[in-house]
Amino acid sequence: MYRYDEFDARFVRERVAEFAGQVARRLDGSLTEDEFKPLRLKNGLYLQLHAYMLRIAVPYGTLSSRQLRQLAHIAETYDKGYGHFTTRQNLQFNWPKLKDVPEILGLLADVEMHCIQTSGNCIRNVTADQFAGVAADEVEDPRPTAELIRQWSSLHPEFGWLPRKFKVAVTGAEHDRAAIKVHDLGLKLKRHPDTGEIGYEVVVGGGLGRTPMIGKVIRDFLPRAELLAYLEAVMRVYNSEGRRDNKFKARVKILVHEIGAEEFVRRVEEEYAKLDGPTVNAPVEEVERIAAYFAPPAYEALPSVSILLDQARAAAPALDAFVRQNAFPHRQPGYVALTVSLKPVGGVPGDMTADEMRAFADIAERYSFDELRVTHAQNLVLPHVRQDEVPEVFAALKAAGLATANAGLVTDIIACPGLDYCALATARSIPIAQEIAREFSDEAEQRDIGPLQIKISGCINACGHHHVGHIGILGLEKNGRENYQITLGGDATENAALGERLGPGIDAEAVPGAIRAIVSTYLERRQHGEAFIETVRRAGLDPFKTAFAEVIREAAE
Amino acid sequence: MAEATTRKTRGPVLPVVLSANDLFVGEVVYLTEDGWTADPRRALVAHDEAAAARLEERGVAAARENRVVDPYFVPVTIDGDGVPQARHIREAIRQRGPTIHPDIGKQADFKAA
Repeated sequence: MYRYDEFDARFVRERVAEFAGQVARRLDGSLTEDEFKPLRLKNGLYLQLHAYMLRIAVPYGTLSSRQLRQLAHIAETYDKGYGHFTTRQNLQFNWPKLKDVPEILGLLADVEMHCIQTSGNCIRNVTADQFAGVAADEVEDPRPTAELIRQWSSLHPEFGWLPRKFKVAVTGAEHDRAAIKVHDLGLKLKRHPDTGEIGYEVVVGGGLGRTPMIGKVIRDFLPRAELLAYLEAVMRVYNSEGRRDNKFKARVKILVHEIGAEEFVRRVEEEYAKLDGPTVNAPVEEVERIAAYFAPPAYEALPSVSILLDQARAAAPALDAFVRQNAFPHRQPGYVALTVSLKPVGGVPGDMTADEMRAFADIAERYSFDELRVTHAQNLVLPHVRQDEVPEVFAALKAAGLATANAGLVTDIIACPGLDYCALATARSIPIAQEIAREFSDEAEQRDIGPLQIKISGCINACGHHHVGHIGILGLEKNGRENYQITLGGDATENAALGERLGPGIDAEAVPGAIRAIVSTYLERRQHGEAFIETVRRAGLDPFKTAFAEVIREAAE
Repeated sequence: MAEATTRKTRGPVLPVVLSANDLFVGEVVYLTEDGWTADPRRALVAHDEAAAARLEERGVAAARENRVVDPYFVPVTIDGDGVPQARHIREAIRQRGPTIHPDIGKQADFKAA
């Protein structure tokens, strides 16, 4: 993992002291709310429906046990005993007091964490594939790139007041688990087809929200060494030409859409030609220094198959189901990565109590080289578990209430906080997720249905990524009541697609039945071995629309 | 929320209470006869426009004095126990706490809130 050097540590401490001063001046009345609001947002502090909310950056979703324990301590001491993992791999506390925030930031700095640029119109926390450094289909670990961008973008003097927020995601794998095509800027590490040299495919102008767009490839291959200068050119074009007259049209996706990808590329290349690359790009030594922190842990040389695990699975169906569903192949023989679901049936997607955090920190420390990951699907990952030790890990997870075997299944639902917490929301998300999970609580049935991503947002800002859910649910308000629109066919991967609406919006009570009807239509129509999204692509929307219309007709009777 | 809290004629849909967030803590608070309370049952209800205007005036002053943030009217109905209940679902959740956590928020802190 990356460790702060002296400069990083001083930078974060100075920022804590600066914000502590700003909070003190707000509390003594020297700053008005209008003056203070942009300052607190730059430090991740919102005022939500019930209270302040503090968003803590988890750079590219990587945490150590020590950091998770500190988060547990903060949750217990300064909040209501739990935290919430988000679709941007961050952690949010829902109840901090403004007067306590400087202390909380100090505790975060103690474990090399902060809230800088988790809000506001700046380059936000960089996200990455949760299986970075683990996945067999990976060209290169994306985290050194993400860390380099984090350092470059932190307090970048030119890009602190962009037209709107700017989100970056990086993947190093063939299969995109970081949703790079629906970010403002997505990077995919790739090998040059002729030279074998490593570089980036650069995607710009994706995004969800009220105007969802799939990003456009603006560079097929950018040599690795040119990354920062090229990003600087992209940001300059956006910073000077992105719209500032209308916040709903201010994201880079609108600029790319309005002038066209070709013209955007032309302007970026023109800007890039003017830049003095060597003064902007990171020196090789710095890139190597950062990369060294992400060197693989000290794996043992092990056989690729664990007889011990195979025997334990044969004897324990629950363990077998857990491994089948939540294990991800590791590039290192004898190891496996385990997704740890934060989606127990009836739970709050992404929520974790302080006790669970501590238990999980212990497990990660003992069995996964002291490392854990946060996924954009609001789950956690133990990235490096010895296959031999999986039975022990499963038992420990079970004892902590963290052994739900549903990774990627119908009950593994992404849900934004919605109207239960969020000041912007128009409807609740979490209770909808809970009701759907209860509808499909039978584990054997979940496994029979297979991979199916349901994503729920409580307003058009789409924090719950509903546009790219295989089934998407958007909560709106209609005549003073919560009303839910259902979309179908979205995809957040390399086959990125936006879902299409199945019909008119429905009441909350009707949602589980509607999802049941959609799933039944899939089960009736699927061909051998076909996953839900594949059947939707092959069969088209019509059979699903017919089933949905039937649900609405029955509800009206 | 402006649409939900105002009529075509000026002023809020009556009756109303005045709500804000406490600056220091962030907690949802309501204006009473003698200051601010976290207990929604104790909120002072304005039944006419003159009373609402007095609430608003005091709210603006409290925001200016940096006691509270963003004061605004919440239209309510008065239930059988005489307790003001927010009309709109957003404000009803704000008045009680997250619907998914009956053990947290005002619904736990103040019984029958």
